[in-house]
Amino acid sequence: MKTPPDPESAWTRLLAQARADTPPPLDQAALLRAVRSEPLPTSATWSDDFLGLFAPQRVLPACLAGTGALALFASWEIWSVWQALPWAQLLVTTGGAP
Amino acid sequence: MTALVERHQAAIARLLWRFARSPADLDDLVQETFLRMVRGLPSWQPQQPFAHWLLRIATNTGRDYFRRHTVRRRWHAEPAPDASPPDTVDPAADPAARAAANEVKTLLAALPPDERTLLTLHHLEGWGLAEIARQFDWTLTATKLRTWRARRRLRALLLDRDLL
Repeated sequence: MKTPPDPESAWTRLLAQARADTPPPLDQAALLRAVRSEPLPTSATWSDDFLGLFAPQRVLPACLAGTGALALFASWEIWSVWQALPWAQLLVTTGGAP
Repeated sequence: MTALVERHQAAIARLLWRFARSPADLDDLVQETFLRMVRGLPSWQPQQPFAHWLLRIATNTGRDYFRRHTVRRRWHAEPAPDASPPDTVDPAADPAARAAANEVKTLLAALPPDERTLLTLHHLEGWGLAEIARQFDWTLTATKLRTWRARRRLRALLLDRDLL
């Protein structure tokens, strides 16, 4: 059986006392100087979005997608040429005459 | 920007004082939080309360501070800066509370950074586990598990020091 925490244990008393601690005053002048000297980030434009496409973490997926698209296009081209071949042979042999 | 800093600095300093070990560290942490705020402004969604968003930046800054300390201690074999005596230059308003806070921080410094962050927010700031889970994008179950592990480690430390 679990024993309930002793509310009067030294740890509980220590925690209650520690919570009453307040922070020391901040160096507000230095803080404001630092914040003011930080350049404000500009909002993203279309050129940022475009450059973002070439970010290092996107290179591999982009290469894979490009390779896939190229393979698909090449297969389609080969298939269409293959389909046209008998017609081409017919045209060559008959000279276009029916 | 000045108005934003002036409006929120007290709350941020209060929270980050639970993490910092000295007034100089507190200044650094507050400054880092507000600089991260400036850099992250484009990602802030207006439907999200600004104070909550800023608090999230502050808790992450605090957690990173704990991580840096742990790494530094591990790799440079520093003589545990967290266990150093409290800063005597800063006259606290309530010296007993400051001494107690320093003792708690020293004890928690023996824990891994995430568990240290969790117990700092839970014990010193009084945050609930659900709130902490939301803050760090942890699941509630994972947070409970971390808390259980952290408490087990802390219990061993407290028994060593006769605080339990």
